[in-house]
Amino acid sequence: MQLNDSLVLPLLRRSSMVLLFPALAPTLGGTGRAEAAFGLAAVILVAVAITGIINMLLAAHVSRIARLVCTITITITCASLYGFYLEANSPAVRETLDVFLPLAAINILVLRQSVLYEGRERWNEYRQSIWLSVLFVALLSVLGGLREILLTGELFETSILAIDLSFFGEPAGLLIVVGTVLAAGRALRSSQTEDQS
Amino acid sequence: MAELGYMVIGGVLWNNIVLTYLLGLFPFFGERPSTVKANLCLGLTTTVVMAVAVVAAYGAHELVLVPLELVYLKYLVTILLLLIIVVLADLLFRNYLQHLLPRVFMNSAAFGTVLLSLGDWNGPLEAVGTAVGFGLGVTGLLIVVETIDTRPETQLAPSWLRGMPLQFVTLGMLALAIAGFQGI
Repeated sequence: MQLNDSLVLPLLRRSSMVLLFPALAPTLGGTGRAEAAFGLAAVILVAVAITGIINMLLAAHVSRIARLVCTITITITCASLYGFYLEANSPAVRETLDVFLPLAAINILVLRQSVLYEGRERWNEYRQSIWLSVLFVALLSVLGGLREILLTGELFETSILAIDLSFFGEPAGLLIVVGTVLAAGRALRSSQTEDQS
Repeated sequence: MAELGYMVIGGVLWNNIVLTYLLGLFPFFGERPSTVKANLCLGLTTTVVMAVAVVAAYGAHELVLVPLELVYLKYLVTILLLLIIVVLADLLFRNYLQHLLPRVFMNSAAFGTVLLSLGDWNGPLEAVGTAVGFGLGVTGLLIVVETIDTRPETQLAPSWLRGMPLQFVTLGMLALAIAGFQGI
């Protein structure tokens, strides 16, 4: 029991939008194309949906560490199957996802499934997990679309930008863009709070 | 030996895993300890886990998966090896590394380093050199960001820019700066 507890961060038990930030961490590099970003997020959503149900069934009978192994195995299987599908049908998207596809297994939205469902609010926790994953799909798809526009000036082969902003799609530029978007979000929120008060 | 040193320095500077591959960003999204010492400890733990995981994955890949034609299981085997290493480290060093090991496991730097090395082996020594370089690169960035956070000048920035937004802009600037080392 001590071993199970020591591997759990308090963050894993929270069910709020705050989780979307650390969930973004292992996926950010795989967002070079909107299609790739959506696919990656969809794999995480499917993994959360499947592992959620399985963890719910196992929670009362199996230790947390065993559930963690089970969760990782299922997620890696989903990611590998999607990888095989992409290799056969869309090699360019597979190339964009590169090492980021198997990293779905250490996504915080997936890993937290192994520490949830131990109380009575199981279905509530499951609903919240799915809702967070859907938000994550939307967030990552928008980010992927934005990055594709910045990198190529196009979205789904439709020309959007005439000027070259590809620097902001590269890792260095993307970090600056993420920082700026976060700052803009905070500034907007603080101005709304001031208006209300 | 000189090549090994080149790899380590490359991993810290122009091949930095965070700034060039966007891997290992987990601590920068609000899951970072709050002192320089704790960040150093997290970085060094990540480095050691990465080095051990790369050697273990090399052994599993070359001695088991390739001879048995089970290469399609490489992702599963790698992540489970990483989990075993983290659990063993937790059992051995629990008193010293409280709550650091889950952060190491969830940080994509560790798993990402092993994945980047998979199938691109030039020997275990080279893989360890790359892992150590990547790990020291992550450690350096953790310390830089923590130092920026605690500087009095940071308090002069508007409240909406302080913390995570400023850290990401700083990381972007650092990525630009170290790009100058490429080609040395």
